[in-house]
Amino acid sequence: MALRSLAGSIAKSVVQTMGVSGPSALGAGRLRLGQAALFGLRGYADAALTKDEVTARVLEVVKNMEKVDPAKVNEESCDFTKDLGLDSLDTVEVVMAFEEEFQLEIPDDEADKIASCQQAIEYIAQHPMAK
Amino acid sequence: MAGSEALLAHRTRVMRLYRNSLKQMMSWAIQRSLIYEEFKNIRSQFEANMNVPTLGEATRLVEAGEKYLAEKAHPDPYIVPYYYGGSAYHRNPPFPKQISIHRDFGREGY
Repeated sequence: MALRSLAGSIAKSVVQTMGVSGPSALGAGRLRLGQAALFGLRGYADAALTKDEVTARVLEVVKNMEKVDPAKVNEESCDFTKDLGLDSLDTVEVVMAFEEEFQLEIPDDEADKIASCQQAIEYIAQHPMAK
Repeated sequence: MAGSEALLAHRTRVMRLYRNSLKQMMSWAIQRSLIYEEFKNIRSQFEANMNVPTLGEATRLVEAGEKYLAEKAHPDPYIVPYYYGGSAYHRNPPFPKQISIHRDFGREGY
């Protein structure tokens, strides 16, 4: 408990010295430094990501993309092409944003398969190195 | 391996070219403020050629793009540490289950 509050205060000071005022200042969702700092300093008790946490973070990233209307993003129906109206280059950008958020490296053939939030959530939840 | 890209669908090939160009730009432009400007440049270059009438011409453009990408390869690209070629790849590989640690400090019995 003490470790987590200490980690939280360290994370807050990291976010403040970087001059970042929160998710709204981070632009297109690619730079999630504040959130990565807050989630990265965790104790060893919850080392694995739960699926709810993955879902929440994935939806946050998609909502923060410039070309996406945040009202349309909900968990069941966020296929990138059909529901959100993104084209293929935007899909590539969204997958790159996921890679930056979870500090992953998604290989090319796996990344081509990710075409909706649900597939992304499943892929990230079973990836052992997702932070 | 170089010729196997021609077997992919055109859309997939364009997507992979875009991905690899963004990743290579992340290796070259290490300051975060420069990266987003360069991403916009790359995106506008892709969008300028978006509505090309024939598939042959589009394929030629993609091949020219891949050639350009290979010319501008970074000598020391950033690879995520646990991935192939990264610094922590196989740093702690799992060892076989037959090996077990038998802790008997103080009870060795000799």
